[in-house]
Amino acid sequence: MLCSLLVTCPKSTGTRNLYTFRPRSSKKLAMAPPILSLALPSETGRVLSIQSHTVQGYVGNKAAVFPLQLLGYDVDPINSVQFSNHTGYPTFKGQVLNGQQLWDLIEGLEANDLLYYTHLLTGYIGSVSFLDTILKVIDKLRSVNPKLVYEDQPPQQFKIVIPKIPAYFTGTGDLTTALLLGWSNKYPDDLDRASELAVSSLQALLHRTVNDYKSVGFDPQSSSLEIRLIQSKDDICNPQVNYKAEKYH
Amino acid sequence: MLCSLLVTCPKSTGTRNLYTFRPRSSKKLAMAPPILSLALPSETGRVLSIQSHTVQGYVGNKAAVFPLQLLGYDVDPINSVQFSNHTGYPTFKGQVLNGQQLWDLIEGLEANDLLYYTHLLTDLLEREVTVSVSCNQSFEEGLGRELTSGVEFPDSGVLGVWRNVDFSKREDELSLAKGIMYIYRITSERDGLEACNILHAAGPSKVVITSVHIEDNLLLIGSHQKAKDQPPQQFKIVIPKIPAYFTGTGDLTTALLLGWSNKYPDDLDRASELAVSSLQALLHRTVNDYKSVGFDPQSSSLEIRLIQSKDDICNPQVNYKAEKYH
Repeated sequence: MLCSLLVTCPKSTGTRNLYTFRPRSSKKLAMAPPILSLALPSETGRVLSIQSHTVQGYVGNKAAVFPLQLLGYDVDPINSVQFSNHTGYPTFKGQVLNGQQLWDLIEGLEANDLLYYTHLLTGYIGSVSFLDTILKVIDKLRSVNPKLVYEDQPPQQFKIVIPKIPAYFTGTGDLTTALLLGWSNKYPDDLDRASELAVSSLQALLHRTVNDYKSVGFDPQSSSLEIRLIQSKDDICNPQVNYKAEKYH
Repeated sequence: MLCSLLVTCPKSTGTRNLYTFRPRSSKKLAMAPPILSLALPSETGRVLSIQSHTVQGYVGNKAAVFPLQLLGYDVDPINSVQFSNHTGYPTFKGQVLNGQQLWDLIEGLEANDLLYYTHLLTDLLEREVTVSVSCNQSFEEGLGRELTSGVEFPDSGVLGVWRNVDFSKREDELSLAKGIMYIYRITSERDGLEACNILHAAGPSKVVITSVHIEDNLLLIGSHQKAKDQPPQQFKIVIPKIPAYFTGTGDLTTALLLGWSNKYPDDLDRASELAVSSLQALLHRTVNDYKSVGFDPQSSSLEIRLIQSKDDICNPQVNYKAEKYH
């Protein structure tokens, strides 16, 4: 028997909006506090990440946000969709944000002076109307911070061909983009170094993923694999650099 | 002060999917891979967290998920709302999930055999709603047996206790009018201990009251009934009040308690010490950071410095010790 705590509304009426929101704090903000991720100097930043959200699994924002948080970034995710799982599974269910709903969130942030971002990250965009709104968002953010850095993701159909790892993964493109953002901001004049760190993190994570599936008797080649993101925390924070950049002369 | 588990009747979905989504992988899953967070032994687990999501700030899932991930848990968040910011700001905008949409997500998980969780976490909802509960066999069986709920006690110390809903009855609609509600006002340690005993009788073997206000201190009161016929082992942790208001601390505390109590299942004292120590370090950092930019921490409620307190969450220095009641 489940033990559960349930809520009853003592004043429900037929057609009335059922939701009444009380302020979280008894002291409603007359004046919003400063945004410390901007006010305090750091080698990180404040990222707006507009990507998909899956309840289960590590793709989109689920793949991108945690690593950036590990690297010390404050990340503000806008979930462009909320699905049960990614679309590679036999089925999926959930909801999609339309352009207007995306813009509502931006307007809400703007009304509270919360639109100053150092970085923008976007992922898979499912419709033309959403893309149009994204373009408006970029313009809006750049009007607040002309130095906004905008990262886009690699092509959607992502297949990793890595020597010695014969397996399919999901979420690696989103993760790689996040890692590149995170490290390249810390090494702004050394993209080689940033890439080495990102690649080393990723490869360690992928090897762990394959090994973990093997350890429960699952053939890693029999389906695409969810990455072991949480379990690779240390590889993200402090990667052992096993992949070196080679310069062209 | 309200905690809610939202479960609604599964209705046939008439809505058609308007968007075309290409599969993420060129190799569509004929067979889903095993869920490693369950298949591989660990001291962590697989948490379903149904809480609000704010784009900016750290409340709800934004406060709960990152700490649990730091502690090694795979967390599956269902965002019950998506708002620009929390509702304490002058304005907020966004979208609210209705019961059907929540249920759609559960059905999607179920269709892929993804409903086995070890823990369920729900937040302090700011909305007062009428909830219809339907007993869906597969949903209930898919959930783990341990329910942790985020119950917050506002300044007045009022505790709301709701009698269990008995899912084994399998009624189609269980109106909450059938539930029994206790309201308890906690103004002393004795009140707190008595509230724990009442909750034990209602089902949970572990109860934590996270903040009882007594003069200049907050008290955390914990109670663990290790066997049904034994009196519970009870303890307190005394925490000097910090003169500031924060948001998200209840959600964060619940997540930390879940995280640590699962790692120390027989030692609620220890788990609470770790959770409290993490939280206090984070709160002191938050106050200091606001002061360092010349902001008076008492002039508005503060967003917590969650990201910057990563190490305090992973490896807390235990500065707050539990004192047992005898």
